[in-house]
Amino acid sequence: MLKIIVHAIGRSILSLFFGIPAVKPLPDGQCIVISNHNTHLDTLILFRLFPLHRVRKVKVIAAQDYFSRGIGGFLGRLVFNLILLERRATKAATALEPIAEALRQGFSIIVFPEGTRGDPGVIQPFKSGIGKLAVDFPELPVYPVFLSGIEKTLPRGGSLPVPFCINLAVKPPVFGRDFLHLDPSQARKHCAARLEEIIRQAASEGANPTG
Amino acid sequence: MKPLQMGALFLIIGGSFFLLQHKGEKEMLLVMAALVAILAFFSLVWRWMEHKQNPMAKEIRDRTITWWWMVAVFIVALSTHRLVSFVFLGFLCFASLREYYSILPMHETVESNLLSFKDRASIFISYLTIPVIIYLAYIQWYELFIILIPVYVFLLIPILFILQNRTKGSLKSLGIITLGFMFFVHNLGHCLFMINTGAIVLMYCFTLTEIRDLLSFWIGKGFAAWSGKMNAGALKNLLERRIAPDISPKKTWAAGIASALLTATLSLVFVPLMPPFPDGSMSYPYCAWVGLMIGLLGLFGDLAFSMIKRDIGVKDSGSVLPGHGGIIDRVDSLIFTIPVVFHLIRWNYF
Repeated sequence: MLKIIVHAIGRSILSLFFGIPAVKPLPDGQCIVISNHNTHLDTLILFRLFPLHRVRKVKVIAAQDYFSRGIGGFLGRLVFNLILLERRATKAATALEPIAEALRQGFSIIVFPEGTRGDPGVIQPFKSGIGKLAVDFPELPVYPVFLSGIEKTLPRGGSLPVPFCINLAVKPPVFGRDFLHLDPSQARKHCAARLEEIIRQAASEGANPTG
Repeated sequence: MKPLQMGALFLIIGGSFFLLQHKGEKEMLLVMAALVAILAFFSLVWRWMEHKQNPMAKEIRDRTITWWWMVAVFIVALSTHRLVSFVFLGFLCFASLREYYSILPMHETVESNLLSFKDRASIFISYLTIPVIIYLAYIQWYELFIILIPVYVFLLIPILFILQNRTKGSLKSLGIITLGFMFFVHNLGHCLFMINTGAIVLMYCFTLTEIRDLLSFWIGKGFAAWSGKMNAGALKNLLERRIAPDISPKKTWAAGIASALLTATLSLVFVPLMPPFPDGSMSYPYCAWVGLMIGLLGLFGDLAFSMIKRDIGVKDSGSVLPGHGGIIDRVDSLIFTIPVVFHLIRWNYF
């Protein structure tokens, strides 16, 4: 309940300052949301895709080295159900296990496949881990979301969020089952590449936004 | 429209009407009722067009629904409490300023693009001036209200640039940011001080400016259809003389001037509603003169932002208002009319 209130207040404040256009919530049911990543605000905006009564069933993947301590980590764990992931995992096979576990428990997850915030406005190559998740859970829809305008609000290294209009475009979902005919390592790579392509496509359309 | 939204709409409008009645503001009530009547008329028009399967029905429908909401919010803001009006109009300035800064591309290097990430600091300062302006208008400190932006903030931004140790692209950024707060905080912000001269003056300016937009759209369409049927000649040339073909291929002098004259005539309706000013009440000729200024300046306000949008390469400034585009697409003419109407009235009657 506390979480829902915090989310409701957070949403109103965000809309007031960043004027987020009305987005349709994602269809009911478990899903994976991926997006380009530039600022800490990204997570807050992506949560708007879930209606308030569903926010408890959503988990966010975050970097362990950054979010395991301090005020950011505390707030993150309180509000966003962070799953902390080691960025320099030693064993590739087990690195994604916490996420798979959450998915098996029925949580929806938000992932930033770029792995880091990077330079504002630049999309970095996606890590193939997202492909592995999609292929391991072939029936879950993976929604690629393109966020724009947000890179101006709070770029890496900036400490003051400056209001700018934020736009988000939700693209049609990709399903892991479409890649199952390939052998596992290929399926993973193709799936991640497909998602990256959709986001880059949206970015090039967004260079001349009309609506 | 969904029944729930419709119910909310009627509740909002009905509630504000009750409040206005309670406070005894008969003039405001009349103007608001007229607006609601116009909207009701357009709602019927769109139903009729849908019935006739006119291709423009969808556009009219979206526009009218958005108008209903805008009018509803506006009525609430002006009928509840003075402070609510100030905060609402201040927020309108903020939202349009934010949209202006957001349509401009921003990049790390300033050579080929418009804004730099270093501009975020000065953009933040221009946002901060809005609460200050709201406060100054609220306590009616006219002298500081009128010089704060063009004198103090205007000089503060270059000082900030110097402290940031910038060279490349500084002139361009300086121009863009200064234009932003001059247009959206100073010019549009005059509507805040206008509340002090009377909410009806504000309604006068807002309503006539928006009606001029509507009129110029329909008169332009009408004239185009009329001259299309005409044989070549002097009258046809006169009707088709365009103001700035590269900025807006459809805007003609004839339609612009015709709608300005019509706006001036319509403005006379407001004379009996105007409150008594310190130096007497509004006279009919002066009201028509101010109305004509609204007509002409609204035209150029519209074109000024078409020009800016063309330069940046966007069609609409946003997608906040379905059927209209962004907030700037709606307030563009107001930026030009509000300060002039305010100063014309203040100069003669205060």
